[in-house]
Amino acid sequence: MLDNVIIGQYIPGTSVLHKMDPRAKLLGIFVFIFVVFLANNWLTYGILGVFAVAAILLSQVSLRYMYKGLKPIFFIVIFTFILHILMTKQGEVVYDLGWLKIYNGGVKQGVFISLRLVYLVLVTSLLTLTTTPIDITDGLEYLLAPFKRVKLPVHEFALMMSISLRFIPTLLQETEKIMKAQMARGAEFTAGPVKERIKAFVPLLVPLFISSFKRAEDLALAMEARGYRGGEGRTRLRVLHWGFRDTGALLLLLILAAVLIVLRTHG
Amino acid sequence: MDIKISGLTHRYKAGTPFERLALHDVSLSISSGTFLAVIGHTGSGKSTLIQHLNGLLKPSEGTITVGDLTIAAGGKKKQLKALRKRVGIVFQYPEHQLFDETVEKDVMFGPMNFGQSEEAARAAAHEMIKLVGLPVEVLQKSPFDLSGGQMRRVAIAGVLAMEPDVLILDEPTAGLDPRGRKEIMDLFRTLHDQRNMTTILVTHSMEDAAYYADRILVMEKGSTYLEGAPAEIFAKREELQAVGLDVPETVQFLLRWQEKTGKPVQMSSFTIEDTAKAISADFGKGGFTC
Repeated sequence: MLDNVIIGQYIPGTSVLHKMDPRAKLLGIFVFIFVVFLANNWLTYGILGVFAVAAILLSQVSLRYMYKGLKPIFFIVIFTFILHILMTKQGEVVYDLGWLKIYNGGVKQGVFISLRLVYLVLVTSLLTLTTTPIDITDGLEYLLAPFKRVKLPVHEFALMMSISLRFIPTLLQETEKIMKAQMARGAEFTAGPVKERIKAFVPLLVPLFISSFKRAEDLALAMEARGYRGGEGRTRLRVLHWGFRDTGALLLLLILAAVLIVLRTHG
Repeated sequence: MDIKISGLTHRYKAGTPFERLALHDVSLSISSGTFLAVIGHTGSGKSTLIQHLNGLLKPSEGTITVGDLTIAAGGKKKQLKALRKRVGIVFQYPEHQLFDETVEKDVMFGPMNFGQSEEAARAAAHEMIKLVGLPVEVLQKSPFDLSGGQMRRVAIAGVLAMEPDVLILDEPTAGLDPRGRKEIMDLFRTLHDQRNMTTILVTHSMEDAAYYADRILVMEKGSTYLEGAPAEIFAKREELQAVGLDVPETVQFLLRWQEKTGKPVQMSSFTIEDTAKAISADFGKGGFTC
């Protein structure tokens, strides 16, 4: 039941996206988040869609798998869609229930915002699907390095992030294990009234917290035992390489942004 | 309670790049009152198999029948609770499942989930805590103040308190000291005999399998590889070695003995005492005792 969460999951592969420099991918995502907000008509959303699908195809991650990963956010997408339909009162009335009028502007707005969400989730999950957590952290550390001057503990941030990313699958596994143990003792997590269901999570959360603290302690000990003492003077086993492909990908994104700026509805 | 498994196949994460066939066409029947040991290499499908027996995993294909309940691929949910009441599982490191404020409440969790009254559950908690060899005083303590071994016992008591007809043990003694291992295993065997239960023990210890079980199932790559009484299974050393297992130490010893002395000995000795007896025959009337 927890198998569907694909955020933080890495799928090994040899596609162009896998081979890209993590810094390029991170910058790319950062730019893409702004680019998504440039789209405001059917054409520009269409172009973005083509771009997103092309990126998925390039990554060689199966479409079916991506779709499964989207499932958990469908609720949010549908909720946003309905909210927009009900709240936006622009354009012509396309449906009239008397007390409820649906405007075509609302439908359009709903579709756009939902698409925006889907694009964002698709493209950002591509980052973790094609980049190992270690690469992501290395990339982030490089990109954030300038902030060290203002005493930002960049290395510590990066470390914290890589640890959390590393432990997402472990935690999921642990959750599933404890869930099974409690289900074997007759606990129900998926049925019954909401109040009961919230109470049913206590036997799951308490053991999870306890094992997480224990794991954190073990990890700290293991790191100290191996002489870890922070980022000062630490060299790297694997050095990141920025290639043509990375410059190319970023240029492509900028071109996309330029195209969207030209084609978007102004005014 | 008779258990019958037929054509059971299980795929993990079906439809993802991580899909893996964990069980392939497993058919097996376990008659009521059997103490079955399941052995096999890591990843041979032992744990997957036992999780089907109380509906924690659903078969991709095939059926599982426990008593008069049948679980099939895509079956109904209603039956699961009834099944879970009959089949108790002690997972690996069961102390990880403890959560409540006091040991008593934690042990009562199972029985109360299955609809027992508070008094009945409390009585069961008291009985089981004594049964697993802990003093009654621990009932009012927090489970997290206990030692690792005690926590293990509390968790086991929590499963026993549901009074299952079928008890499944997934490496219940992993990480315990030798004395704790023996005490816990002896407890399970005694319970099995006294309460007329069906017990399924998943273990990596050939010694435990030989000593405690009536029957042994060897799993390999998600299929059943060998099945039979301990004496039959451990007579097939080559076959076991082919899948990364071996015979118990007592049998290894006897085989070496036989090799050195050239005299055949009785091989189905799985305790130190029996092994000593088997070889003492070689000494004839000479005063060899132990």
